[in-house]
Amino acid sequence: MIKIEDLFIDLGDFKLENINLEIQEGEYFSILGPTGCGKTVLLKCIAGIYKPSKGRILINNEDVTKLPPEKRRVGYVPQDYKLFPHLSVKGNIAFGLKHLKNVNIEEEVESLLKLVGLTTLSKRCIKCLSGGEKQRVALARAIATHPRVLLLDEPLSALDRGTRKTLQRELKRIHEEIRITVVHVTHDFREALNLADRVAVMNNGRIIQIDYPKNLFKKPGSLFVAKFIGAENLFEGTATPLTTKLSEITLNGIKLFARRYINGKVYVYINPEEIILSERKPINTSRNIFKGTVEEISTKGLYLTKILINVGVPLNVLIPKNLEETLSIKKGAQLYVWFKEGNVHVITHDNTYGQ
Amino acid sequence: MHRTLWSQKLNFLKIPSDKIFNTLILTLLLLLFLYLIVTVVSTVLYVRLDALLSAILSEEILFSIQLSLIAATLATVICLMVAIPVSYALSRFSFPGKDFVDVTLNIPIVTPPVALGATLLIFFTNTPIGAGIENTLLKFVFETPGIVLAQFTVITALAVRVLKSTFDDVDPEFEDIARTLGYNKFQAFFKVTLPLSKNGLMSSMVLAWARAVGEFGATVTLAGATRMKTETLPIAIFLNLATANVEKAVATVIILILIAVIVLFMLQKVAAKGYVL
Repeated sequence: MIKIEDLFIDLGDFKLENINLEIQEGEYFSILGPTGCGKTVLLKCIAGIYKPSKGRILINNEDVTKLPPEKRRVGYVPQDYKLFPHLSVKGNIAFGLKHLKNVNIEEEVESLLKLVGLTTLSKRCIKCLSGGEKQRVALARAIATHPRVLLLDEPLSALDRGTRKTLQRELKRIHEEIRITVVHVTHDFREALNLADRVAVMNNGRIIQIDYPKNLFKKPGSLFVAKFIGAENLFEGTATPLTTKLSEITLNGIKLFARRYINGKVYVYINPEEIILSERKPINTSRNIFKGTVEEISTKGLYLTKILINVGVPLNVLIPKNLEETLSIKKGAQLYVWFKEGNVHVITHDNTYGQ
Repeated sequence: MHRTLWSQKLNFLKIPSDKIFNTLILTLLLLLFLYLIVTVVSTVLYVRLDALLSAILSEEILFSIQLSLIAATLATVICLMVAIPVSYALSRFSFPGKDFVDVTLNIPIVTPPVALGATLLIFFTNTPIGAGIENTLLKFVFETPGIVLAQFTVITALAVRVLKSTFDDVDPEFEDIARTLGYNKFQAFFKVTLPLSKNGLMSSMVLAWARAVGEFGATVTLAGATRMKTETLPIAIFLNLATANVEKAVATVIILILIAVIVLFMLQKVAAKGYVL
């Protein structure tokens, strides 16, 4: 368990302010944010590499704020692994074990190599490893001393796509196997979505939102979060409440309906997967039915097609490739789009401090 | 109309310019090489072999070899004990006036050794602190410890330069990792940073030692040139030339060249292992 209270640190050109966090025992927690938002600094504060000037850090209810890194029992994997180049794979993994008493180093290294899925590499030199192998060794080195917390700084960002996916699964498996509290820093929302139990979004040295990854996606608390997780079809408009559960939003000449009570300036976004296309005017209860012109058709991966359709505002719509073929959509074609009122996600203006 | 270059005017034989260029630079390379070989070989051949051997085995030259090796080794050991922490501090910390400190530490590199020796001589003879050290702790002026001190003064600046750039190249994050793995600051330094600086340590050690063996200016000024007392190898050359004892002077030259060859060979070994000089 990690608890951070009112943490403040000033590094001259950069500040972390008012950081409050509580991470549960065994939780896979992700800190998400753009480059330079302070997520690495926060991680290094937990590791004890940086000393905060205000606030407290507790690990398993023990105040570690003033403890040096070697007394904190945290495992730390930095961004580019920083494996010791003067040692072998085994030497790296055994590095922390040499400090523990009553440890059979051979056996421990063996089982750690097994845990991270590297059994034949023990004698190899560090320079001869691939990126994915280096990451696994760095993981093994960090968890060898049975730390209370595992801190991972962008563990997958330096890897190629395939390796990243494999290692993502491996991280999940290892976490399930040893049930350690993990803090995983990343700038990739999908990584957080796939791995994390909960996510803290950071910007400019502050935490803007802590939530379950699915909630972040469905209900981003601010425009920054919406943009950062890659929300598409994001527009600014003016809302007028119709009932306590329904509001009308005017944007660029068209009217949308959202199932919420809101008033004034808002941002709205509609996920491209939640917009439905049809050739004829759909017959249903949705108030969000529009006619528009297809402006662009582009391929999105192997199975999806992205269609840009102008209904007064440009809407991106994702449909399966076979549907595109059935409908034989052409540029310039007139089509209907519709979406549920509940799928119009609203960010109210007073929540935009994260810009 | 293009201006004709002098090199084009020269080329009346219609030889391609790169051939002329390459011939010129390779000729210069050959000339420099021959210059060194000819001067060294003819010096060595100037004396007869038996005279040379007896000169090398003479009591005076054997004394010089011994004194030079001991003094240079001692100076190098002290130098590294000081230079390693100092260069680590210069590499890792920033503090007000650091630039000034940095420049001051570089003075011995660009100042003539004889000037450094003069400074030390005046300090130990004419100032209260220096004279106090001379009278109570250790005598340096015209004594053997003066050799070690003079060499130390000259070579430490050099070692600090090499070691600072070595430590600059070792990412401080390696120590951070070691810390999270249970190592305290000292352990992290000795188990991670020092092994990772092996290259720089080796080359600074070899360079400093070689420079100490060859040190003349500061040594002769502080420790003097007393036969069989402060007579290091370079001072032996000086003394024997002054008394026209050419055999002994040549014997000393040969020994110094041999040491130089060994040192260069070691540095090459270090470089071949990927060690950066």
